[in-house]
This record gives sequence, structure tokens and C-alpha cells, in this order.
Amino acid sequence: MTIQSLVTKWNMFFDTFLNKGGYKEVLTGLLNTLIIALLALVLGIIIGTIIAAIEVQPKKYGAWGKTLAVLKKISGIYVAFFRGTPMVVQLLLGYFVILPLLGINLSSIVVATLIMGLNSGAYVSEIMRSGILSVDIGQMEAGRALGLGYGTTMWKIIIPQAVKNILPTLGNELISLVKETSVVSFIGVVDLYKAFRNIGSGNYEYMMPFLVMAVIYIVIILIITFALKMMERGLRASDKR
Amino acid sequence: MKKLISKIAAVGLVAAMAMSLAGCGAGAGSGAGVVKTIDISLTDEQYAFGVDKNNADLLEQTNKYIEQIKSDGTLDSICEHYFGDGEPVGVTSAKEDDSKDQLVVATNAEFSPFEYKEGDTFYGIDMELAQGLAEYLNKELVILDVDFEAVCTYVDTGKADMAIAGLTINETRKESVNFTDSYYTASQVLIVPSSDTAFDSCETADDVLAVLADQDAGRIGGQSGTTAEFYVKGDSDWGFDGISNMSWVGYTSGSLAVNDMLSGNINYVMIDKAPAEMIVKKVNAAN
Repeated sequence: MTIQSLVTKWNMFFDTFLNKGGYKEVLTGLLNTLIIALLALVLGIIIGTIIAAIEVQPKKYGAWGKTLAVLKKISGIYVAFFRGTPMVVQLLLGYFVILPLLGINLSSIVVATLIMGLNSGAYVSEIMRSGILSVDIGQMEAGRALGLGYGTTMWKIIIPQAVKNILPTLGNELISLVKETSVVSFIGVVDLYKAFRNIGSGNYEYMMPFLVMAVIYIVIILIITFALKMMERGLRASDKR
Repeated sequence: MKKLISKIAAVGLVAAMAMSLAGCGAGAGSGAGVVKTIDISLTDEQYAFGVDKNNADLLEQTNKYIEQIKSDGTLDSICEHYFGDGEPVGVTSAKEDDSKDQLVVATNAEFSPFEYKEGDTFYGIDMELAQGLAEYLNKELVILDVDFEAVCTYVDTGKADMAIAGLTINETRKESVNFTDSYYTASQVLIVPSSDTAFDSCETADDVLAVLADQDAGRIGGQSGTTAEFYVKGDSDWGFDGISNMSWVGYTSGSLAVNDMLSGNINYVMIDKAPAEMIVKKVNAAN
């Protein structure tokens, strides 16, 4: 592996990238990666918040209490499954087993977003739960004392404060999701990794494509980290910390 | 803090360069290339298209197409684009659209000269055949580029109409797809480091197998899910005995296997003959 061969490899990569339209696939891959990650995060937050709200509720009695117990059981199984299996397994299971069995035909990018959203929901539910529990219990007491229902207190008082607390962890979740999109090529979605793999396969030379791919992932994560810091700073303005 | 980071980055960069230079010390200074194929066919296979089992009509029409291109010389001229002096013709995939009449083909575009991608255009014998077939059937061509092992699953689960991916006819695969008539005869060959002389006196496949059996336990790599995997591991469905002292290492593509062989992690690579020649040409050019 001489310096000259490294230069040759770089030239081959650059040629495919620029002259043979490799950059188009990289852009598609980049777009898919970001869209899937962001949509999955949104879905995950919605599902996670609902599950966290269910888990946090104390045991109740009567008809509503029974429904609550059932809901808690279901959410327990959901979280255990999605945390207990690798993302790849979930993608393959969903795309090649569950959907064909149900006879539903969805495009692979929709399936990827759904499964990653469901997966993210399981993790976010735990994050959200810790966020909710970290809010002073006095807030709930004050809300109830003012005559607001449990749901309203949760939605309008507790959860907004919880979200501010867990924003760094949610940022982590987004970063995790961006990195996890690298396996969606298993079900046929062209993501950033697959785009560079295609560039490499044309020349049978993967060294440079993989190097550039890693750099792009790092740059994306740095941008996201920076954006999150800005958002946190904006939200903390009212905290005087 | 900044100074510390920049120092760490500098050290890291130097270390990476030093490692990459040292790790491949026995490089190709002679200019004769770093790898070569052992040009002895180890198997005798037939490539065919794998068609959706629920679509007997498509199977019949595809077979008619294959018969036509064999007799009027189209198949030969397409092969000339890649094996001879011709120029490869690019094929583009349309976007999948349920409302249109489309031919959805599943392939693995990492198998030059049968299918590969440059930028977002597909090239390859199989790809040009797919384009011709779509025109013959008056449909729009959609190409799904997926992992090789998933190609038949895509047809089996109805996500693709057929698989065109240098697919060797085999009994196990017949459980997922119906095969058309064959359009290409292929075989497996070994790719070895160019400094290897163990196979110099080999003339037949049995000679090659004898040389391999003589060696210490080793590793043969290649693309996962291809005929080579079953040849090395042994498989009763395929009718292969396997190579008992060699273990198989699977990669997502043949060229990754060759690169790993250059790094010394595996001993040999086994892959179909035409791709082997392409890989050797390109890898020697890049090293």
C-alpha cells in the first residue's frame, strides 16, 4: 500500500463521485438517512410520551383501573420487545415476515421509518418516564389543587418541564437514530452507507468511499449536536442556570 | 483544550498512515498486479432469471424473450459490450409506481460485469437484458438494488416480479422462484495473491482441489449467498462435497473479500469467473 496507490484510490473515488454521478446517490442517501431519522424521532417521541404517561400513573381501581392495568401490560411487552431485539432483526422481521403475513405492501422507506419509530418509542418512553419523575411532585399537587384533571396537569404542566430536562438525552436518541439508519439497506432503502457501497462496488475499491462516508456521518452528528446546543440554550433562557 | 485536540488529531492521523503503510508491507512494487485468477473452472453452472411463482404468464413470455435473444444474436452482442470491444449501455430504473404497468426486477448491483452501478445508472449484462425484457413486455423497468441473499426473497414475497442477478439455477432456490431457461454458462474460480505459486501446475478442477487439500487449514472468502459459499461449505442440494480444510468467510461483495485477502485475513477468494476477471483487473489497477 504505497502513497501512490492511495492517491490512485482517491482519484478513482473522486472520478466516480463527481463525473459519474456518484454524488447524486450520496445526496439521495443523505436525504433518506435524515428524513428517516427525524420522522422516526417524532414518531418515537409521540409513542414514548404516551407509554410513559401510562407507566407513570399510579395503580387505580374500578373499571378504569382494569383498563390501565391492561395498558401497562401491553406497553411493558412492547418496550421489552423493542429493547430486547437488535434493530436489524426488527427491520427484517417487519419487512420480510410480518407485512407479507398480513398481506400489506408498504414501500421499504415507510417500513424503515415505522420500525425505527417504534423502536425509538420504546427507548424514549424510558427517557420520558425519568423526565416526568424528575419534575417536582409539588407541580402535580399544585395542578390537582387548582382543579385541573390528571391528564391536563400532565399535558400542560408536567410534560413541558420534563421535556426541558431530557432534551440532551433526546438529542442522544436522534444521534443514535441517524447512526442506526445505516442498516436500513437490509430492506432495500438507499441510505448514506448503501450509496457509498455502490460507489465502491463500481471500482471494486472501497477504502476511500468508506473513509469519506465516515467523515460525512461525523459532520452530520456534529451539526445536530450544535443545533441541539442552540435549542437547549434558548429553552434554558427562563431558567437562569 | 483546542491545542490538546489538535495534537491528538495529528497523532491519530500519523498513526493511521503509519499503520496503513506498514500493514501492507509486501506491496505490489513490481507492477505485476497483486492478485490473479486461477483460470480453472471449478463448477459448471447455468444462470437464469428467477420469476414469481404466481406468474406463469410472465415465465412463459420471458422464456420466449430469452429464446429470441439467443437466436437473433442480441445476447451475444450484449456480452460483447463487457467481454469484448463494446461500450456498456446504461440502464435507469423508474420509480416504483403501483398505477403503472411495471416490471420490477430485484438485483444486487455489486456483481460486475453482470450488474453494477456507476453513480445512479445501472450497467451490466443482466441490466441490459432486463431493459430489453421490459421493452419486449411493453412495461416500465424498475430495478431494486438489494443484498444478494435477499434477491429471491423479494420475488417470493411479491415485492419484485423477478430476480435477475447472475442467479445460478439450484434446487433450493426453486422453492422461492421459478427459473426461466438458462442464458449463460458460468463457473467458479479462485482468486489468489499473485505471489502464490501453489496452483501453477494445476490443469483441472481436481488438481486445484488436491492442492487445497494439501494445505493447512485456511479460509476462503467470497460473496455471501453465492454458489461459492455452498461449494466451500459443502451442500447436498447443490451437490457439493465442500472443502474440508477450508472455512468460508462471507462478505457483502466479492471485492470486499479480495481486499481482505490483500490484508492477509483470508487465504483465497472464490467467485464466478466473469466477475473474478473484472475484480482482478480493477484491484490490480488500484494497487
